[in-house]
Amino acid sequence: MKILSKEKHSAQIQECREKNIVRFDAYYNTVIMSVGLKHIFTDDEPCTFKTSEPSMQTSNNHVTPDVIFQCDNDSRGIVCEIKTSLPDNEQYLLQDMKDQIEKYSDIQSGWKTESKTINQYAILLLLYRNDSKTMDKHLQEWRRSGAIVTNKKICIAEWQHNHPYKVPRRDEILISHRSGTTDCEYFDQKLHNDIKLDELQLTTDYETQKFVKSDPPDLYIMTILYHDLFSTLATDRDEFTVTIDELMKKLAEYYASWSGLEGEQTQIRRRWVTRAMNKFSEIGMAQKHAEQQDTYKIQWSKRIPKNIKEYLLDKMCGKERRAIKDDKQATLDG
Amino acid sequence: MISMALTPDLGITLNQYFKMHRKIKIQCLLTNEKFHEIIETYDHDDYTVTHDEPILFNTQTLTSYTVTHRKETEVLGRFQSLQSNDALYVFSGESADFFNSIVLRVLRNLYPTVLFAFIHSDGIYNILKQFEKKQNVTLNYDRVVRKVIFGKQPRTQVDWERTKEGREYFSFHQAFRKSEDENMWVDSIRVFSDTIQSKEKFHFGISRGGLISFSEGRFDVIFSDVLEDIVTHSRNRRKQFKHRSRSEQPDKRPKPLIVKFGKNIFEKTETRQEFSKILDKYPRCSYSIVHSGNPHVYLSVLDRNDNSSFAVRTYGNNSLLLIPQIKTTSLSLMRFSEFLVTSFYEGVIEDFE
Repeated sequence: MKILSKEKHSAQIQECREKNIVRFDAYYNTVIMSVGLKHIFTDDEPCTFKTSEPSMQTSNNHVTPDVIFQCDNDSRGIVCEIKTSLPDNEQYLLQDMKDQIEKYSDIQSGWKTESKTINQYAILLLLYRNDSKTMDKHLQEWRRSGAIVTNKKICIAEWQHNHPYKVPRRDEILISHRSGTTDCEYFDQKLHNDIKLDELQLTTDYETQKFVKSDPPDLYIMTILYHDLFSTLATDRDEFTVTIDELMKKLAEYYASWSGLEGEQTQIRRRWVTRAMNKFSEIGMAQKHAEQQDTYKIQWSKRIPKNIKEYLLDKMCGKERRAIKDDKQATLDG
Repeated sequence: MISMALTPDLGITLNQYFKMHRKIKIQCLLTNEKFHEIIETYDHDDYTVTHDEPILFNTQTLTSYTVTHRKETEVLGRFQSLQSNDALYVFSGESADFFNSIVLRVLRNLYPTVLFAFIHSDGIYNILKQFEKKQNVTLNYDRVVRKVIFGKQPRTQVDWERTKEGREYFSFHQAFRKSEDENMWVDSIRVFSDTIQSKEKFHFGISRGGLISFSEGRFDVIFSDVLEDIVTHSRNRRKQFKHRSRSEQPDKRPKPLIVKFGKNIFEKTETRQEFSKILDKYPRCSYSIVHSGNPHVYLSVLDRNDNSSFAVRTYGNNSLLLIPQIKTTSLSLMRFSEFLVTSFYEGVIEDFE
């Protein structure tokens, strides 16, 4: 009984840690990838990266795809969506994809042309290699069964870091074709030949754009807040106060400079920061001010362990050691 | 470069002092403060440091200090400082124990107001090469400490050439060549002039930490041809790290530095993963491994001394980027780069374009 309980607790912790790490990595990789998309075409190619996160109008609302490309003298468009990670639950994934694809199929204007419209366009879904097969399989089924209806062509592309054991090693991202078509011959051809992105070109771009449109995992934004923002506000004391406004101002100033041609910017949402700050409070690294709204006291103790990300993980998921202790307690109670 | 040849009076005074002592240790440092004024304002734990009236030689200040035990009022020893503008040399002819365990401890306590000079292996080599040329002497070595820190077999190798009886001494060039062949770095080396080939006698040692042990020769020569060069080297390095914060840039973009190692040390995934653990050994810092191993390593570093933040990222197979964040002081970058040299691998630091 005791062994079972200990193992169960241990497994839960392990699962929580892995989930957080996977989400962190997926987000980091997605940011790197989206920064890279700006560089996949040169000026003399028939396709161009137009802008990131434009606001585009549908019949009764607006949508914000991750990136848009325009090809063949702006006669064809590609709406590109980068999927950070896929939900485990198939129903959630269906709902998410149905909503997105149907909205993207109804874009009326917002293209970077004089009339803001375009003759024809397709939808490009870009996924990490491990997810692309699942997405491909599901999407085919859902379109066949009528669960998702669209009159647009859909292309699935996958990306991966260059093979870790390939010699000579290169810091490269490969984007390859998985299924479907972008309805643009040049783009399709390029995908079939694998698009190679030199990651070394992207290093400073990543520094100024650490977020994409989708919500960052708590661990990701908390690590950035702790390292790069709290450090600018810290004093010699063990504690100091920050407000959401202060953090938002700095985030907008330093991490939202990825602008497209029209000057659109990646929006860093206030709710991300509020959620992260509440999480810091939950795990005892900050304290929410009782009276002043959106104000937090940060515990900036010098006793904080060396590895901040690991420390956050421990606080969020628990530690193996604690599991054993809790288990002993549980056994005693039992 | 601020050069300060010793005034004749000071040269004579110091040459006499140096003749009186068998062996003198000199630590090269940098500070923007008047050393004799600040040293007494610090709390040195077990020790009390008092100073005599400083003697002025034009822009140079020579001051003597007495260290006593706080409780027992016992005089532990004396040391001297020579300062001109930001260049500071602290020396003593008393025992190596006194210098190493008390004087250096007192000096470390003054960080970051007073900074230790630092010089790469290459820098030591160039100083010795220039010294041979300027003084028209041949320098052989009798002791060399070579190190390799990172990798499967970290090791420190000390070669005492003197102990090998009947053996000829070799030129210092050979010690450096041997180090390079074995992928090691010269951490410190002691050289002497070959008296058959050279008229003038010199015997001194240099370490990467800016510590000179001096046992023979004219101090004014060592001063202008060794000590000043070490300080200049350190001053230039310090300049390289200044004004790097993103908050200081008009466009707020980062202004990274690239550390080039000259060898494909990051070729293997295992080396990159091993590198990501290096910060466990870096004192007074917090860090996060943002990305590890494939294809690159990206670390966020927080210097707890002054809350500076910067990122460290492998760049290709043979380089590292130091990427300053919103607030990154020159001290934090300098401290980290010295840590890299002493705990990982020596590289050349340049602006990343």
